[in-house]
Amino acid sequence: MVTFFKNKNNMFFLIFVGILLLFNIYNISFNTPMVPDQHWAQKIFYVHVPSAWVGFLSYFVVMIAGIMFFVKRNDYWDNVGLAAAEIGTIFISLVLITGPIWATPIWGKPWIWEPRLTTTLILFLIYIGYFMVRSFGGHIERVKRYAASIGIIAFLDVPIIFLSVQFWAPEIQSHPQVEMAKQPAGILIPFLISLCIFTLVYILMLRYRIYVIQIKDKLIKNV
Amino acid sequence: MFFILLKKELFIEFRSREVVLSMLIFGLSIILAFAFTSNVSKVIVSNNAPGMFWIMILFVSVLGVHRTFSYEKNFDAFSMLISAPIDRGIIYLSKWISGTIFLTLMQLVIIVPFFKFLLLDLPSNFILFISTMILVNLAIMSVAILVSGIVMRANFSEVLVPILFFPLVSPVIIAATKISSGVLAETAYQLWQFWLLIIMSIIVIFALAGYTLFDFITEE
Amino acid sequence: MYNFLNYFLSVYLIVFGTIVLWFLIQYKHESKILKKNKDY
Repeated sequence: MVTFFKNKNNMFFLIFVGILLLFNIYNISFNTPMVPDQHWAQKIFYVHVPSAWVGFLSYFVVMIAGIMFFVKRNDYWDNVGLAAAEIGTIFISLVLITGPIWATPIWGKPWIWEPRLTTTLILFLIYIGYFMVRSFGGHIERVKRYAASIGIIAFLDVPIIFLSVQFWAPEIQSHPQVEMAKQPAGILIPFLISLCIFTLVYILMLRYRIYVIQIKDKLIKNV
Repeated sequence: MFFILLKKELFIEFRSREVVLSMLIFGLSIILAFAFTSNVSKVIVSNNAPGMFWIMILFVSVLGVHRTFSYEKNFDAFSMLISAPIDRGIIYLSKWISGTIFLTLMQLVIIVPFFKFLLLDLPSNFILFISTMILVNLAIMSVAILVSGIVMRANFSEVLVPILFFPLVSPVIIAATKISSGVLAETAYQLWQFWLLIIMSIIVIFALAGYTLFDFITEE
Repeated sequence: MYNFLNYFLSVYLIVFGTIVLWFLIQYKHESKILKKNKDY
């Protein structure tokens, strides 16, 4: 068994992703327009929204992995689900941390029950439950089934949660972000670039994590 | 087959009346706590009454659902149930409907203490209130039975059920409070019919998911 | 009018720092597993 990066493709991907991340920081810092009333704080948007996108994408992968686990009965899909759940939760935590940091200068207070942040918080809490079941759920073979089920119903719940939270308190609609499509090109293009770069980072993280989970499983089986 | 299982659930309950009674008593203690913590001022309570009602129902449902599954857990009737050659999704459906029936029975009794102890008037459009309540119960139970079925055989199930259940059921709670506020304040139906749609979609989605997933969850 | 540079810097430090830290921790974790496996 060898390290993930022994494979030349993975090594190149890592270096490529590293360069892209550095480029992203440079691009955001110097190539984006300075919005009048938010100044530097507005540029948080270029990492806050891609983090949310990656987090939700990852939770979607958990749902797919759960379904595939039940269809194919293959442990590989359980590993995919666990890896995607971990990485998704990391990015969702980043959203929940950077959101209030962005909100404090803009809105004056760190937390408003704004629909998207609230949905993110609810999903985060559901996944805390997911990891508790993984740890305390009992026998490992059962736990895989429980985890797959929770992954499926968690993402199934997302559209309903978002809809109900959005109309729950209509006076709190003040997201400091206009609709994506209506953004001027100077903002939209660096945002899309950042989004693609974050997605590439995510793909590398996911593949690496799946690999490490698999060799850990092999180690346990050998012992 | 479904009706046989449903009759079994109801029969067990009618003999001991354990689930409904314990939910009822727990509900009364929560009402007491509400009374103490809101200084029984009519202004405070009448604003928050629907919310408080559904918070109480949330806690009571967790208790009730735990009791519903604990029969199977204690006497290992679960493995016997699973080895029967039936579609296991029907177990979910029977527990869902019987859970809803228990919750509704308990609520019909607890409405009077809830409104009277908190010094409110009983709702004038009783029938509408009860019917929307039954719909919300269906939604709550669809989520609760599914979550409970997933974690029931773990050791930590008493802790895991609330932790998983409360975030998953948040849209139900939002919708339930909006509907109840609308019904109690006798506002026009158009204003809160959107929330009824939300409740209906939750019922459909979770009942389907529960019916499909129960087969996989209860494998050995 | 503040330029909010501090908020921007802290967010970028947190986000990119987390990503880099994750890779480092993952690599250390992987090396530990591989070392354990070598003994068998």
